[in-house]
Amino acid sequence: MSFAAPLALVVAGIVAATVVALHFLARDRPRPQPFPTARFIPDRPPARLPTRSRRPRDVMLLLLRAATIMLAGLAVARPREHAARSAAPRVVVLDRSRAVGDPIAAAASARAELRAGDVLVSFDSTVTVHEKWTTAQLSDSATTIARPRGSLSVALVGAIRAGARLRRTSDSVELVLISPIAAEEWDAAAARIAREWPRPIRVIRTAASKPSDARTPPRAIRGSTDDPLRATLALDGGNTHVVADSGAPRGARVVRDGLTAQDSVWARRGGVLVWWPAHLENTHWPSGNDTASAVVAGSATVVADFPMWRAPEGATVARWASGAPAAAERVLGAGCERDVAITVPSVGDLALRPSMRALLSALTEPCGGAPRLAPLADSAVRALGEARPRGAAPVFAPDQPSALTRWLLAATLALLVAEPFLRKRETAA
Amino acid sequence: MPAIQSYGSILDAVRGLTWPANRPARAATSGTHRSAMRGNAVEFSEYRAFRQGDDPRRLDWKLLARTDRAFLRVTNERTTLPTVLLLDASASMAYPLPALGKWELACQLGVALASVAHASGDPVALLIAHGVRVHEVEPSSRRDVVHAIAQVLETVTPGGRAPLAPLLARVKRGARVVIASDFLDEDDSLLRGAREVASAGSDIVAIHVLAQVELQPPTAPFIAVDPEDDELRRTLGAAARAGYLASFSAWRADLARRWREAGASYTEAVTSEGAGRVVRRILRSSGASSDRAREETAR
Repeated sequence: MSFAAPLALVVAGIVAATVVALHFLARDRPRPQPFPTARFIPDRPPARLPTRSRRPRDVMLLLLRAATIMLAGLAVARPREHAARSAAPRVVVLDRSRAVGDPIAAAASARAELRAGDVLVSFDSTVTVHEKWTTAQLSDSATTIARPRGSLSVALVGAIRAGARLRRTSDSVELVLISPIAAEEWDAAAARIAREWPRPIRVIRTAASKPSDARTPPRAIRGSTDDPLRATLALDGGNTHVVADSGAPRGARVVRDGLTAQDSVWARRGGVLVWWPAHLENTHWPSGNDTASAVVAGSATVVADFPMWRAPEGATVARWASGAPAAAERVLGAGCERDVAITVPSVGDLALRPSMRALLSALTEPCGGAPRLAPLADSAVRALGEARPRGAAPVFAPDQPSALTRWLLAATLALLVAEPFLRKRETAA
Repeated sequence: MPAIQSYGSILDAVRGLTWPANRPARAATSGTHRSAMRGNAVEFSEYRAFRQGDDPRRLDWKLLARTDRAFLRVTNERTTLPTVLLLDASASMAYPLPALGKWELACQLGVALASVAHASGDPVALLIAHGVRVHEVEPSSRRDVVHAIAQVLETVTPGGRAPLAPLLARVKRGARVVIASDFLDEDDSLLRGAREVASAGSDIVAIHVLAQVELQPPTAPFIAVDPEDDELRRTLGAAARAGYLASFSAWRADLARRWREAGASYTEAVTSEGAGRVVRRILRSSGASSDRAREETAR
């Protein structure tokens, strides 16, 4: 058994000892009270008061008070029962994102760190917590085809929550991070979230993915022959011929008419499906009565008057100048689908502008955006393994009071209720 | 609420009781008590031979005509007996706190005995020794005298030192005197005064008011402080308890002996005992004394 606040036991012991001492001291000074027949009491010096004895008569009251104080101290100390552990439990965070160059090696590293009772947290853009991990789960993370972009912030939040649950039965929890820690996985929040872990984080850096081919991934478009976006794509070096459905999915497919089942199958196999309807009024997407004066996607900005349609739910990849989503990405199997709610005018030269070509490039990037797979510098990663300053308050959820604590509190309350009755009885005696 | 209402229960307990005098009374007014004087009352007592010097008007002429011998007709006179209540309102009577049990008991006994005496047509009076003041209700047999006594008692809170001996000087010769006190701050002057009053023909009833806790003090040790003398402090613990009980008991026995030797009837009234029981005990002993006195006179 351990205690969440062992100092409370020490304080309770000191207070109980003080109460016992007061019991002996208080009895040596009887209280004066009026008594008309005092003259008949033999006149003896007070020093010979026979009650100066080492044995208190109100033993029951003394024991009750001491027991009340000790029970209250035990309750405040919050005892915790847990099985004896030879080492602190671990939360092993395994990166399964596209930044991992050798997923099998990463899974093997995780297997080496995991012990019975530890928790496995695997992450990419989302996090999965396996409180009772299995080898099969490790194999799945190593062999999965879909590898979205990873987020360390998401991973650390999941790890902190898993650690809080482990901490209910253990005084300390170790966090092991197995990841290449690529630049694209690190954001401004990751460092701050990492500092919430009360102990240094042990980092095992795995091999990072190689940056993909420098050549621009192939892009194709399907739509009417007079579609202005064809011209944009052609100027940007894309394939304006009709897309074939066969073949391994590579690059991006821009669909200007309706989506088909084959499009979804193609995307699930790893392609980037960009649904950019030529006629947005045929969709069920919400439209605003406003117009937007610009649209931004990554570093591309197109300034023009656009009717402001809102993209359906997903990760926003383009925004109107007002901040509303103009394009959103959804994971689809091994690939993704991007829904673009930007109207390309059929008249004018907007489709031919460089800004429009840049917008098209941004919207046809690989799923999760252009990969930045270069590992983060060691100096940035070193902060994860540094000791935390004293007094740093952990974000672990406060311990839930155990049943033992509740029983101790109930017993203390019962003794407190009984004390006045016993005191009255002792006084009457 | 009228003061008398707080004595409702004790007044109900003593309703119908009578309080005969221990010795013949000497009052001139007609009442219920035997008079020390023989006269021309209705109640016939005896015939006595006419002696030289008797009043010839008291001759029974019919008996003379029948027997040719001269006899006097002797009757028993009945008269009233004024009853005076003397209550001690010193600080020692304000105990135990907070209910002031001894003073409450003395008041209940005073009102109850006044009511019994008043029911027999006797005038009742009240004298309270209260520090430098004396509270008084003059002797009266009017209907509301018991109410007046209750009202005066309501206004008094015991305190200070108040000797009772000077109040005896206000008592008329031949009256019945009831003294309710704890006798803790009295010297021999009260007993001397009582002896003189008794020898002058008055009935003295001494009621020694005691608190139950004085008879059985608590076992937990404490420092006892005399309420009439702050300098007097004694520690009452387990070892001193036996000595206290012995000396207090010896003092009470000696006090009882001295009051009886002075010609008074002495009784103890403890706060744990109901006032009604004490009153009935007093009346019973008074009735027994009256019967003995009558028998002695007859012999």
